[in-house]
Amino acid sequence: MTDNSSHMPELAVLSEFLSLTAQEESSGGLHDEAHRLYVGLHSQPRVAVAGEFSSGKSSLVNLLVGTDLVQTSVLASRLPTILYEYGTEQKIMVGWWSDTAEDKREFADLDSAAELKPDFIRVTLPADILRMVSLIDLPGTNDPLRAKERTLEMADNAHILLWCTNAVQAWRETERRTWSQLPGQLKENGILVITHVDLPSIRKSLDRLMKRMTDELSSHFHALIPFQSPKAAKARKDGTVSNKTAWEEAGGAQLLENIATLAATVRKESLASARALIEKEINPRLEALRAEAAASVPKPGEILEEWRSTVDGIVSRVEGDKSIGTDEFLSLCRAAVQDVSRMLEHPGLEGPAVAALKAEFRGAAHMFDQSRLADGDEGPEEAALILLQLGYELGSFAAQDG
Amino acid sequence: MNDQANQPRVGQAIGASLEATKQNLLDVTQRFVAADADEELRDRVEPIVDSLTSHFSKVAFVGQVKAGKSTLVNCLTHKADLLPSDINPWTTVVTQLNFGHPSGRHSGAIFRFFDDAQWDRLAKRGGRLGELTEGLLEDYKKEMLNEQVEAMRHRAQLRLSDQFETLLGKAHRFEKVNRSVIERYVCSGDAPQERIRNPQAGRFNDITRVAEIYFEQEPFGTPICVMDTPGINDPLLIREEITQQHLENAEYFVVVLSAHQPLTESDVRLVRILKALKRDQIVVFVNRIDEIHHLAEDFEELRGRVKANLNNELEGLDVPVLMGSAAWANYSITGDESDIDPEALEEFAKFRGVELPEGGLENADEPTRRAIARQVSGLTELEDTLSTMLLNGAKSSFLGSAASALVSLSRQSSEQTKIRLDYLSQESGPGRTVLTPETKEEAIKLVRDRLSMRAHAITQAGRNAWAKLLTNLEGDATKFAKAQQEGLAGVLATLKRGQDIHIDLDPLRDRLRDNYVKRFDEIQNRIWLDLRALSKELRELFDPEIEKRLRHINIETLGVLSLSPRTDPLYRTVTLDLSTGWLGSLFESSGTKAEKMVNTIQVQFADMCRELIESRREEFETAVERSANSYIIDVTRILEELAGKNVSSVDTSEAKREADAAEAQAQLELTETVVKELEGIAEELGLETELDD
Repeated sequence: MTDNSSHMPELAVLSEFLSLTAQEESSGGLHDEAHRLYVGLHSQPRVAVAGEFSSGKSSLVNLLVGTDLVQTSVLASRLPTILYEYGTEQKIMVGWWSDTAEDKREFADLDSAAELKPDFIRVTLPADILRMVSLIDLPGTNDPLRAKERTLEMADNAHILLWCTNAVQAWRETERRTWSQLPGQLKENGILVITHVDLPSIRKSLDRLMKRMTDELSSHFHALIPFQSPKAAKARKDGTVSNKTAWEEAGGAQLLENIATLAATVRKESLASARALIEKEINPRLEALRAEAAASVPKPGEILEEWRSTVDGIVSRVEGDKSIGTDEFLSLCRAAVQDVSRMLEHPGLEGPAVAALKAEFRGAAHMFDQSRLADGDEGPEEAALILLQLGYELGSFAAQDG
Repeated sequence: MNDQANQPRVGQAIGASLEATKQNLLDVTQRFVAADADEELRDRVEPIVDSLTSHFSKVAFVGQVKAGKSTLVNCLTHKADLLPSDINPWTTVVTQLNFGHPSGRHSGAIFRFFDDAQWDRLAKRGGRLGELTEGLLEDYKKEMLNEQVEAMRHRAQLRLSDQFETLLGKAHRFEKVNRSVIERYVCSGDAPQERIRNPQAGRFNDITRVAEIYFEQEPFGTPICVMDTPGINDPLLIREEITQQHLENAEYFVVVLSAHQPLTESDVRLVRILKALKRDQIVVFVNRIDEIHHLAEDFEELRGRVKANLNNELEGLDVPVLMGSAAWANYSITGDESDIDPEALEEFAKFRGVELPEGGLENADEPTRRAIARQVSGLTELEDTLSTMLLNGAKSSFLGSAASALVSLSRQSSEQTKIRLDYLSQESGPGRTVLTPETKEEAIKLVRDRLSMRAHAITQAGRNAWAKLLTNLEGDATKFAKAQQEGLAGVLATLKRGQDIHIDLDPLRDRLRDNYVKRFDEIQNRIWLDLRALSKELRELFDPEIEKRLRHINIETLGVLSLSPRTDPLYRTVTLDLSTGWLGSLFESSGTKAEKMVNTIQVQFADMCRELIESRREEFETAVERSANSYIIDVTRILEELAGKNVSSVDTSEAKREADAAEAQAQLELTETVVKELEGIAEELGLETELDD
């Protein structure tokens, strides 16, 4: 990931605003909007690759990043969302939505990563295209074996859409319906990739198919690109084009050009929107927010107090009801850790001691989140020890301060 | 091997086994009627024979757009290129191909147009729906709600000028039909400007509802209607609505899937509907295997998965899953190679163990190549499966019910003859004293009164059950509308700019359908049990001596049992189905309007539920009435016999009586043979023919 903050003052403003408004949950559009713009400026534009299952998404992604990481047979196993970012070497990692801390474990392949049932898999690769954009390979829709709700979750954070449709049954009602539910600004930057156009039944009347698609869809998509995966794969082995004519005929060149154009547009628009937002909405509020934040910095003593009363609550709850289950106990512990973590995130709290404490709490939250505690009777015991440890740390932090 | 692929396979034509059994039953029945000259009996047999001779199996091809339904139908019916199959999904009309139609019509076609009300509903979104939504949508006409239907109307006008208004509700008939005629009605051609260049193609498509095309029975072994339906999951909602409404007209279903996406949610939804409607004569054909790269390695596993997922959905109903390629089948029939990838064919043929000539497919002559394509296309398996399905389906419907009625009638006939023989063989036999004309009339009256009282009670109980069900269903719709109403606020709060809301009515439809089907079963079962109990009760009205003579007569229950639920009204498009694209903007402007809109769910679905119930209630009542009438006829016939109706005056000479007895004896023997044969057929069909006691 390239860090642009050094030469972009807008980023610094957005970043400050975001941390000042972090506490106000669901404070409405402004925080979300600022966050979206921050992500848009801070990292490469994100390209969401979406479509129904078996629509040729995986072949397309493999081709763009120049690997064969994803199996492409009709029998391919169901993978979660895969996020591709630039990195000097190939790494496969897993992540969960609820998790703020990064999971450092690495995996040999996607299937073994998927066994942990993560919300998404993160892949870094030294592929050229990933210097320009990052890719989000979304799970295929209209699949009876997959729960519907979360498939498109990550599309909300994307800027550019590649929608794959199989030419054999191009643009069906289920596709139209799913597509129409995507965020508006994502749809505005959409490319429709029509796959499987190399099949004999399509080849002979491709022009008529394209005519229908153009009539119906040219106003909804930035470009409609007929794409021949097998031919493109032959022309572009391991990420470099070896046969330029074939690459062009397969639709590859056109696809990359369009992605580049949209990426440039997105950057330009993000910057313009960020400036507008800063000028109109953020600057007028910034002073007041800073003052508010300075006034509301929690004292270490207060944090300790809060922690003690929460833990006391858990203790009396456990004593009052011996039948309390392990799961319930663990979720109480988790809530306690999260509460105090949130207080520690306050932008007014600074310094190495706070940072160390934050890391402790994050690590603990992580343990609870992923239920990485031991099985059976030792789980609750381990949890109690963690609470105890955190309490000591907080205590000595408060003592130092006061 | 030459031309073999072109020819219907002798002796294995689809439905031949069903036809053979049916013919056998008809032959025996003919001998039965010849043996027994009783006119009342003939009156009873006649409708049964009619049900056999007029029976027409209906097979529907269903599936998503562009799964290859039309091509597959063309192959199965040996009418290559009959139905247009286009890269763009243009089958917009339900096409019924009638082979050997019982009316005797074996050529030509009838194209039926939408009538005013249907067109109104489709194209103007008026009628009842219009009333309900009036004032709600006024401001949003621009919002694409009517985009589809407007386009349809616009095209119709473009092609037919204003003539189209006068065509509504009418039909066009042709004595002869060819591809270009069909294209005028069935295929919608390309974009409007091209149509003007060729005003004929697709000219009537937009207003055509059903195309009925007639052929000789060949190549099928039995009279059959093969229905091609517009695909589900079509951007044009109207087409989907038409398909849903026609699903229930068929008894047998070929669900065509695409191997690209074996079993999508839309397919699962379709299969669930079929299952809920008790249409369990289903075969799944996974088409387009020719387009899957290196399928051979994954073939068995792919089929296993489709089957496992289906079984999961159908909870134990075992549906055959075939894999094949309509493109290969089409090539084998027409020799047209343009849709074929020879490498894929060769690879798959090898995998299936087909013996290839030396040098591979490339070196084979054309007939051999076509024969190989046929062999791996899955068409033969489909034909065989359909044959089995047709026979199985007939067993549990018209064929079974005819056979069981005939067994019962032939047994009664033999009983009648036995009664007569008793009279004739003994001068003061027991028969003579059984009934006088007066006691006979009394007995008939007794049965008639009791029967009519009980039948009335059954009908009344049925009406109450239906009424209760209606209240129940209306309650479901109200609850759903309320829940949507309450959910709206939440949805609204998280709605992002440019995103849209869509109210999914499928859960409501599923709920109404499941509730309805469950109650339908209960009502049907109740009536069936009541009728069985009634048979017993009525026999007990008589002395044991007479009761014994009536033991072959039962109130027929197959008429009631063969009714199945119909839920097509539920699948009508209602306003909110079209909500994608505009409901969001409706909210932005006015929450109240949107709320009102959601409230119309209640009213729209209540209408449908009423329709759902009324038509079926009447059918049950008719079935009960018909069974009661037949019962009275049968009982009367035996009682008349017991009163000596068919015996010449007692004073006739010994010689005359002996001659009559000999004649009756001969008739009895003939009838007994018929009974045995009919029982044999019934047994073959797996029917229960043992007597109750």
